[in-house]
Amino acid sequence: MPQSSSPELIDDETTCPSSATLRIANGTSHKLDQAVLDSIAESLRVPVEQLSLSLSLAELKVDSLQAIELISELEQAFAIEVSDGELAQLHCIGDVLNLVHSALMRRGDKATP
Amino acid sequence: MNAARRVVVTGMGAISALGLDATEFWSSLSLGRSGIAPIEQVDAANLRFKNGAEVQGFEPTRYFSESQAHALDRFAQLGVIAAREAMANAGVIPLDGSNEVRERAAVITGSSVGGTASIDRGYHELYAEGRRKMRPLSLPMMMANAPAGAVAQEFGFGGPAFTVSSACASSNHALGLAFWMVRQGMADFAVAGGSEAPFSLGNLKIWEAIRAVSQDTCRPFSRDRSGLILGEGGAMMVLEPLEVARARGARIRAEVVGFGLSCDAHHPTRPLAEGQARALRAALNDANIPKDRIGYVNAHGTGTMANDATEAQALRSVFGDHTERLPVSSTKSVHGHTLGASGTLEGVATILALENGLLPPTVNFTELDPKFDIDIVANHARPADAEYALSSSFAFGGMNAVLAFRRWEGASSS
Repeated sequence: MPQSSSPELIDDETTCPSSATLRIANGTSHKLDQAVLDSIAESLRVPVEQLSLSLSLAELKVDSLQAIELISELEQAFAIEVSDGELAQLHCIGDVLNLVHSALMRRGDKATP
Repeated sequence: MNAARRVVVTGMGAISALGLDATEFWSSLSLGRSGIAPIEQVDAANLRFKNGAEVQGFEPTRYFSESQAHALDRFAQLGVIAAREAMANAGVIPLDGSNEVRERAAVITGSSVGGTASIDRGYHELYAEGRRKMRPLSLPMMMANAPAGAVAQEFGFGGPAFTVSSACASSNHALGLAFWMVRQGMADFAVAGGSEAPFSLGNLKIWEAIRAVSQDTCRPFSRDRSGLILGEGGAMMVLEPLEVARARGARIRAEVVGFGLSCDAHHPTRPLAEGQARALRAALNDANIPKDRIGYVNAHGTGTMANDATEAQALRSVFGDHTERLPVSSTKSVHGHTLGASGTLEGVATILALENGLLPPTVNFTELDPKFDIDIVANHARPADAEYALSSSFAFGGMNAVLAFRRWEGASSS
């Protein structure tokens, strides 16, 4: 049963390990990562330079509704589908990048927008 | 201005996924027979969720002429049908008396989004189908006050008429305001309630985007709940001053004793227990009854993670130890979340529960979320001798409205 991640929900006290890294790190993903970071920056209306993998959504004061909006923008931009359960697991920017990678792998390619 | 008058419900009407009238509604509700099924009005192939609570076997032309049906969006049709049933149930078709009586009759309705299917269809024709002109009936069909206008027109009511839009609390606000207006002598008769028909693709995609809808079913207060299920329907009540109802020998269904409102002032979609608690307390204060007299709560209970957790916390904070003796159910598990209609539809459920001495169940219930400390009427109706009951609506926007009802016991209720 996927956990509901209703728009009313977000954990305030989520933290991210300072050593957060991308689970999928290789040369070819760099361009994709940059595109995802650009999309995140645009959606959250923050300068892209401010984003780091370990930066938490709570630190960015992203509330539940903004998190849903962010994921919706990424779904549209990268033609991916993100489940409610996956959305509930997002705590930091690194998680968001990993999520896009997983969703693209599920889709069977690594197309960029 | 008259002194405060006692206000009673003398008629009720309900059309929903549980049936075409209030009798069918109670038959299904009391048995916990769910109206949730695969969505039929819209092709759900490209939707994350596939289930809804739609009115089954609804044929508009059984209720309206072809031209009337053509000019009323489905949400308005559902509202008018419920109002007709409530008026017939109250025995006031036609409403007897002089023009003066009709000129002091009010119609107050609630709707969250109005004629969304008409808007959706019109914009699709404009943007995608190359139609150059919008249909002239678009405006009267989409306006959220269409049911109030149609009801006033049909019964010739010339008194106050308006529509409240407070998302999922709309028709509790409508009913509560009607109660206060009759109590204070601003109207001598009122039809109040709400209606909603949310099944159009554009509107369902909006609900999909906000990720509040379950891909499975509605399991309020269960540990494994996964969201709400959208429903459609119309529900209306007739409210009159007690003395007027008695004088004409009306069958009284219940007394409306309290109305409480509050705002979380916190977040557009994330609820706050203290805000909800303020509305619950305000309803108890308005009714002037101690909290331990409440014998049943028909909860807002949407089945989302956050609503149910917040509501359980609010109930505990208001009722304290009495919470252990206070049965709670969410009937949304059977008739879905009917949004702007939900307050009054659940008010009808609450009054029927008081009348029948039987509390309708919260179905699809697996196990209580271990974080909650409340008594859920799970899966099967429970006999109970409740005198007072609350019906809660807690809307997006943080807007809360709670009504308190008293069981009517004929001559002994004075």
